[in-house]
Amino acid sequence: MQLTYERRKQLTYRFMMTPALLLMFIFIVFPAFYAFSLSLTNEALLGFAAKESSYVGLSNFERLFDDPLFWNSLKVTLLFVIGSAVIGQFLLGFLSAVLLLRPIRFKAMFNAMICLPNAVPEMVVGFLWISMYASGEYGTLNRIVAWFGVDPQQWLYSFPLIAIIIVNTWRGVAFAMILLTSGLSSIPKDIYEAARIDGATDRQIFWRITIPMLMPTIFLYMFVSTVTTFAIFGLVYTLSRGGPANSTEILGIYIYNQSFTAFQLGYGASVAVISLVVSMLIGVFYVRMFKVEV
Amino acid sequence: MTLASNTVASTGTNQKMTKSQFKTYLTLILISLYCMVPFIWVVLASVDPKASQFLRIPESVSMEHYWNLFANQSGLRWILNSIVINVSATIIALVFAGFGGYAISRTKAWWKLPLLYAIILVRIVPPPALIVPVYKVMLTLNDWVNALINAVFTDVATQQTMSRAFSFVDGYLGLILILAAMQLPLAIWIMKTFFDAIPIDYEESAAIDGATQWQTVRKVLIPLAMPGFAAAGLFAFINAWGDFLMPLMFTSSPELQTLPLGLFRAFLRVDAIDYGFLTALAVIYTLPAVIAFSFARKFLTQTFSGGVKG
Amino acid sequence: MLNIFTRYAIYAQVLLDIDMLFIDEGHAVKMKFRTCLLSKLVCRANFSKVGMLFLLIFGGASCSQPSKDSDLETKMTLVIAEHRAARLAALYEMAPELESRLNVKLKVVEYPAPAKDYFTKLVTELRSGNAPDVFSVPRDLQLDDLAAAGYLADLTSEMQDWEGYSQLPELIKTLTQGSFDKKNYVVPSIVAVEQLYYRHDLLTKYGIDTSQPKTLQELTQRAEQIKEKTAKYAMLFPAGLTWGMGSYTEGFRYLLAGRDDYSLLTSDGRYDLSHPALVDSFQFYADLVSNQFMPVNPLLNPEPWVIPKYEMFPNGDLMITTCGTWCVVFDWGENSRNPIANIDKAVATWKIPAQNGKPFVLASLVYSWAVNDKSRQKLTAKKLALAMGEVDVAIAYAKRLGNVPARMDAKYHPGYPSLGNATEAHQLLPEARAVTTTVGASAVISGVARATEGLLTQRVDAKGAEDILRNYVTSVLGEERVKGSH
Repeated sequence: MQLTYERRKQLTYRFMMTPALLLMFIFIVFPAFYAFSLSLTNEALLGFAAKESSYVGLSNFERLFDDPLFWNSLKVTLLFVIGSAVIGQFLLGFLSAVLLLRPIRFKAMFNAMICLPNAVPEMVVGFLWISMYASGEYGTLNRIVAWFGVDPQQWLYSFPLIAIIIVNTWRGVAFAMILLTSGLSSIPKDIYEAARIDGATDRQIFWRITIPMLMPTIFLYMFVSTVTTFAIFGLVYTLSRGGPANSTEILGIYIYNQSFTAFQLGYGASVAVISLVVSMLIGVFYVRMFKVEV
Repeated sequence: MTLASNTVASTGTNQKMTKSQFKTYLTLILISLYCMVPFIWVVLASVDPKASQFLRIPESVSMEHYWNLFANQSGLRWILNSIVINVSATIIALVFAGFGGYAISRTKAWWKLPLLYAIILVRIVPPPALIVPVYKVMLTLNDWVNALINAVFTDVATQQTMSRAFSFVDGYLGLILILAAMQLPLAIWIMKTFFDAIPIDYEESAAIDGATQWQTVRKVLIPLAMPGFAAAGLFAFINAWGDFLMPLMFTSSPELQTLPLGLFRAFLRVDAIDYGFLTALAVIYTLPAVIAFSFARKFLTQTFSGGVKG
Repeated sequence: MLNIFTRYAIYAQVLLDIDMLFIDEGHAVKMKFRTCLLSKLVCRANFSKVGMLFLLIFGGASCSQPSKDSDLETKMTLVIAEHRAARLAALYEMAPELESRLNVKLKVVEYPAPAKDYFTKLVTELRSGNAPDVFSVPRDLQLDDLAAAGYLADLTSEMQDWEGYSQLPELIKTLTQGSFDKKNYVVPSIVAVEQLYYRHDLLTKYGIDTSQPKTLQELTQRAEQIKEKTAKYAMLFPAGLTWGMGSYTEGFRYLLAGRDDYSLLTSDGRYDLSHPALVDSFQFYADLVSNQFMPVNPLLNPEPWVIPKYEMFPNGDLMITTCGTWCVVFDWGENSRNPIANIDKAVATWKIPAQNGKPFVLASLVYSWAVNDKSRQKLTAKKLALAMGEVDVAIAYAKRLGNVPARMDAKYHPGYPSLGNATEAHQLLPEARAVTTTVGASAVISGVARATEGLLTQRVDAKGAEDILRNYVTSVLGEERVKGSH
């Protein structure tokens, strides 16, 4: 059969994208859908259900909505995302971006120091902060607060959620800074000059020009950081493993604990479904709202 | 509030300028301290013969922990495993994303747009939500592969060797493929963006000049897309290198342990933690990521706008 | 391309050399020879470069596993899982002896120390088929879940023929069986014996009766006396969410075991979760809380055991606690972190009061040995599991962990006196009680933790706690597995 040149080319393209799409399908797309069907079973790693699982309808979800630990996990996740991504990283990143655009010395050095935490693998982040938060008078943070006359604390026990929020903020300042720097530098300078000639104050310029012009970047940042913070696992797992007493059990950890320490895969999958639905909603909202160009 | 003064020449008096400059430096120094303090311990402990969980100034500096890494069986094994697994995953992701990104950029099929949106959604799937279904998928693939291996090879030793190499659970192949798959959405986006910027005329004129398909790819497309490959490769490597969840799920043999998991498990030996060894290893583990990140930094903005915004 | 290939080849070689360090020399020489031969063969056969890479990289990584066909190495290698420094030390002490008895090589694989991590790793490996040949099951109540999932090899016939079997108390024999099929799945090695530990020195000082309380009512009266005369906390029964499994195993279980009119399991293998015994037992907790016999706040914190067990009891602020033989060695012994002076005189034991007025001690199987049903060398692995149940191995473990051997003939072994006071508990084994569970025990454990948490915070009464337990277990296991669910 004779194919036209164009037709053949289009077929070649399909052929070329197949391996990538196949790999993503097997390891991401199919599992995401499979999570839905698993959530309707009593699949488990222990007991009779490990040999042969059966369909249990929506009972995993009924149990989920009755489980105070699930609601606790949702609440912790929400606080974690708001505390670290929406507030902590954003404020510090924005501040750094603004300050580093000023004519100052040692710019490259400050820049490098702020960026360093972002490059560190999650496991090492946990490791570093376990030492920072070590209890007893020799713990690094305890020595620092001792200068201000504060007694040694058991940081990861007394303030677990704040502790992990501080760690995640630490890790993400650079990302916010880099993104917002590019946003700030793309605002045309003549707008500022025109405003200044019209007699606008610094404060007015900031709220009326900088922030509105920066809005698309801020939304992009909020979207990316919300989605990535939502997906965090290793950092919290190495630091606190969801404890003490479930106070840092973000959704990812809750799924892991239900699936691999309580060995209830079906129930774990039903939590995963909730998590998938939430992040997909955020994604669709973003794509629709901001008319993403592709 | 003088936040907006960044882009305009400061018009204030000399004294006012100094004051605001002082505030600027002070704030930046505080933020930098926040960012740097946690590193002090790991660096100091790694050269301290009496390293502990607590920060202390070493009485003497020695590189013994670093040398121990290479004398110590598990340390070197973790490093080499990490390199093999992550480099392989990066290469696979790059090759697949190269083809995929090129094809998506060039295709005129009606489903191009839906496909692109789909890839954005794939990119934001939270990996922890996938652990259960992926675990089941990997188990199934694992059973198939091992059944195949047991059918093809009769010798137990060969069966074990092949099974270690090609198993999906507790084998190299599974971990490499899943790490590669996780990096694909971003890598495809980056490559697609870069190929979008290369006019199709270049390829066509090369073809008219009598270049073969392969020559066009090698002499025209790859050199032009090189920055794209660099960016995609760096990000794929950084993400795969730092990943903790997949090794946690899919490796258990000590022979297969990679750096993040080895470090974590060594840390779980609550009664006997060798902090000098672990901190030296943590430094070694962090270095490639930091180096890759310093190269990747300049692509970061492009990538995120590329990956999500378009 | 060639350059990359050489590098990979060097890498593979390095990996092999590392393995060499850990296998005996004769074997190493042979391995080296084999690998060289392999790479030459591969080169000559002109395989594709990629195939060659894979062979070298991955082949290298697992060549350390000796093969059967080797003429230098005729011994079979068995993989055995072990974890925690004390247990590893016991195994390393016994390994040469075990190897020569069975004519095998043992490959000890070290597992994560925390109990949860150990079990998670073990279960996921059992599921994916790459678990070690022989491993230990941390507690008897996990046995049914593992056996029902088909992970454990059936040891019934081997156990019946084993000369050690007749030395086991009847109760221990029952605990080695799957409750649903009565097959033997584990070889017992050591047993945890638990009862009540109290401050003999302080109670005597305050003039409080130290005779054995026979019933729970007597125990409660004793607690009232303690509160009146000392103004300290009277006793601790672990409870609450953060204590986790211990809320059942170190607390609630003591109360259930004392009932003659109730068993957690019905005759048809379901959990009986609507019975006055449960309400009574929860009521006992509720009284501990409302009468302030028990320190409640520490139990709501992370690591709830630290304050009552490691601080209050040694300091004399808490008089009675549930515990096992290891407590007097590792929790309060002279070499522990919180030593009690003259512990032999200061701390004494009461058996657990019972409904029928005949106090008893509790026994549970800990770290009994099981064989992976998917092991490629199942027959030899079973022999190893039985060998782990021999008296000398059991004593090596028991003395390091503060437990007692499972077998009664252990008392004839020369190492027996090294167990110290635990030998008294060992002699009580034949009359000990246990609570038998079945598949889904972990749901009951979580349910008890949740229910007792409600009692600690006084959010629910005893009846409400029973509801929490029953509803939780029903929601996890399904109605057909719970008697009393609606």
